[in-house]
Amino acid sequence: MRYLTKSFVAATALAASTLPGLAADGTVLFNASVLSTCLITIGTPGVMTASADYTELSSLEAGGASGTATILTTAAGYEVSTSAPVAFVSAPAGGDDSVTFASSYSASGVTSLTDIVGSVTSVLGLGLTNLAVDLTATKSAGAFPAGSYVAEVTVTCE
Amino acid sequence: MAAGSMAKGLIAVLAVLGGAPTADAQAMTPMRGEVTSFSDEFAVRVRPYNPYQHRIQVEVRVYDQDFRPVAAKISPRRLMLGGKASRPVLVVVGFEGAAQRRVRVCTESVPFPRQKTRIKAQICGRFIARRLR
Repeated sequence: MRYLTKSFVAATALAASTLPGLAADGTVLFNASVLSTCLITIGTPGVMTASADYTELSSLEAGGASGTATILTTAAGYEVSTSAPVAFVSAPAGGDDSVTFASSYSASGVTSLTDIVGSVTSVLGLGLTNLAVDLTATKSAGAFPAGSYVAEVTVTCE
Repeated sequence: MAAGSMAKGLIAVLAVLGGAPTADAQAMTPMRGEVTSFSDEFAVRVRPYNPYQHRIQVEVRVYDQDFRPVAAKISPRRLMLGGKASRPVLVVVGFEGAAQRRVRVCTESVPFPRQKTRIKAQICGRFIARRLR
């Protein structure tokens, strides 16, 4: 009898060790929250060149280059626009006289836009937009004197 | 003719809107909001955020619907943000007799003195405040 019990326990232990394990499954949850926002990253600065008669400095002239920025949105409904300056940040004497500015922008990526007047707001797509910004300074009286000019365009996401 | 060409070249070179490209980025939350106030003023708390490794300096300003500056108590108005850092900024605006006011609270990048990047980033949240009497 004792032998039988011993054998039974041994057999049970053997069976338990050779059967597939009875695993318990659990779930580990991960939570995340992405805030609704707009992120602007300034890229390369623009280059303005003079027109043939020196009455215009523009990134659209031959040899000029657009300034660049990227805008990342995490929700729909955001808009972009640009603001042209009212004066140069720095200019040689007389360089700032009788000058008006105009900005424009184009977009690629999740937003497709071409030559939009800077003050006009455009709806941004959800994700990454590549923005090219152009600036033109026009002198209504006289010509731009030689020297170094710096102007600043504001890119707005709202 | 040659002198004119040289002068044009000089202007072309010097009219660069900056020198070495530098990356500057910013974000802000929240971007939309409605506020109800029982007093003559309402308050909005925004958090400018610097998502990159290098520090940036930003300034918070308040504008109306037509982007005209609005008088407001902003604390702190100008702040330095370390990489990956955000800080709360408290903005208090008066109703100025109106029952409702729409304002833009904007975070603007402040170029460092020697920084040549000349595209300025401006991120604006739109807020509507209603006064309960």
